[in-house]
Amino acid sequence: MRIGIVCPYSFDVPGGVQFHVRDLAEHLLGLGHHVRVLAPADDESTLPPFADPGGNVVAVPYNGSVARLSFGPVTAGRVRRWLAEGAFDVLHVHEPLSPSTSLLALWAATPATTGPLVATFHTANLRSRAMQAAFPLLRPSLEKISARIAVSEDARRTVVEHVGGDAVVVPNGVVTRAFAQAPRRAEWTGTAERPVVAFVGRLDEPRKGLPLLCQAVPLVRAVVPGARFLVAGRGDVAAARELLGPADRDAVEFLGSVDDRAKESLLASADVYLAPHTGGESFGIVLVEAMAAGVAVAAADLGAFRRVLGDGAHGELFTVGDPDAAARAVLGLLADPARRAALAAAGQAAAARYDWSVVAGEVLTVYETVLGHGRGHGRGHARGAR
Amino acid sequence: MTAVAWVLTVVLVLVALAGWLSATAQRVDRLHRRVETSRAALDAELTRRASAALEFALESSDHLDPASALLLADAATTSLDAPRTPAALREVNDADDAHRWRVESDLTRALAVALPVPDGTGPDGTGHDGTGHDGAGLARVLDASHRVRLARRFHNDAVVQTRRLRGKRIVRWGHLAGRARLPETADFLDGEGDGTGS
Repeated sequence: MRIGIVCPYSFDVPGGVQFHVRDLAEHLLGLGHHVRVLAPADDESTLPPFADPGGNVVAVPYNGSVARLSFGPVTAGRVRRWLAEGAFDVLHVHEPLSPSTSLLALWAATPATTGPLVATFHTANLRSRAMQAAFPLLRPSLEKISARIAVSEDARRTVVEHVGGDAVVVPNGVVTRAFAQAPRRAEWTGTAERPVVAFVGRLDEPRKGLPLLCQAVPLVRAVVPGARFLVAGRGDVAAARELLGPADRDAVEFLGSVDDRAKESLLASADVYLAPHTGGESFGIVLVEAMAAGVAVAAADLGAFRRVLGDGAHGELFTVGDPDAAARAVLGLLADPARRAALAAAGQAAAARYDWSVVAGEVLTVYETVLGHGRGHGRGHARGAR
Repeated sequence: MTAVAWVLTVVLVLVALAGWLSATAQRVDRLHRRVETSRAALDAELTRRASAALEFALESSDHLDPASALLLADAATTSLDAPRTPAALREVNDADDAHRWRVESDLTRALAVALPVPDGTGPDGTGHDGTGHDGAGLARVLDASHRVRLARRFHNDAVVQTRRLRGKRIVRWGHLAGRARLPETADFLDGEGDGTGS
């Protein structure tokens, strides 16, 4: 199958959508399909080998954070050429409403240039006023989409409420093996006196919950004085330290932005993963990563997290935005190694459902469904039945 | 001068109106085509499900009691008897469709009763692994059922958007939909059931 994938955000900044597109493309390539990815980039230098540059990148504040997008006539022209040259059987557009390559691809797509359109909605918060104002203009483009995918129940609800119509849920994927087999690092591995609580997330986005974590630190240390908190994520470390009382500054180690290997090892080494998010999460991929790594998870009771954690069967849930509840959940896990091990095992088993081998297969099934029977070269065609 | 300005304004308004009409007509046309394609895909997946179910009913006698096998085979055959060539589909009316969806609901119910309960049900029913007991046949039925659910959702999505656009005054007054049948959603049980709540 010839598959074209459009990513709206630049690959030079890490982000959930970019990782999703990269991993999906790699898995589809691994299954023997022809895959090209179009992403905002000035040239090939920053792109993986299967991706093409979509035009100059501009940093724009969008949807609560600064996104690196491509738009304008030059990009529109490149998108149109890319579609014409790609001759794709299926065009898969990610985050189709973001004002970047995705929306331009949707706009430029015609039945003559591309096969059926598939779109994946990642976000659970679409309620920008610009979007509501511009929606009538976007509707004709949205009508071209043959199959809509949402990465979570929450993302699907957003589609139903804000876009109209429905979407099928195909979750985000995780390379579970990388986390399950990640080597532990001695400096990140906890001991009975000095257990390790890990957190991965942007420091400067309050909804990721760092302020809440900082409030929970003294509460945890009141009971377990040796507890260490390892925080991995980009942002202003000096500003983040200000959130801590002077007594707690040594208990929290900021690792800065870490690469994939380090993140895998961190999750595999820690005793508890704390997800103190306060909202805006559509899926909670970091929870799946923590589960795959085999660390016990304590997470805020957000809808997306509750679903990933099987209503608490694969991890501890606590009241959203409540540092006392977060501290209690962490302390409960630290005090009970048996429960920690049980949750870690349950989490690891549950994470298998999100492995890319499963998820990429589901995406491929969607492609095959919109292509109709007997087209393409998917796995469904090995069956001889006619 | 003012007369020229007036004429120009009128011409501009007419051109804009014509552009709007033609763009809308194109949208209607595109949606009609989408409905046709998605309906064909849905029919293809339903055919696959029915043949897989029939095969399973006839070949896995050690996993099905004879009563279930007979019921399943009967439901699958009834589904396979429905008209499904593109030419035949163009002729169907709403009553035919209503009958068709009843038949497919019956097959879904028969499958729900006859199939061994899949363990590890994912939110979309793909958590099955089909290994162990006579993998292939069962896995084929489960996979086909999953694809029916996808195809039905995609089809209904296209139908809902088409009906929405066709309800607009500009489409009705401009007769932009021509004589194409107003599409109806495919309302049958596909096994998703009340799975949204859990």
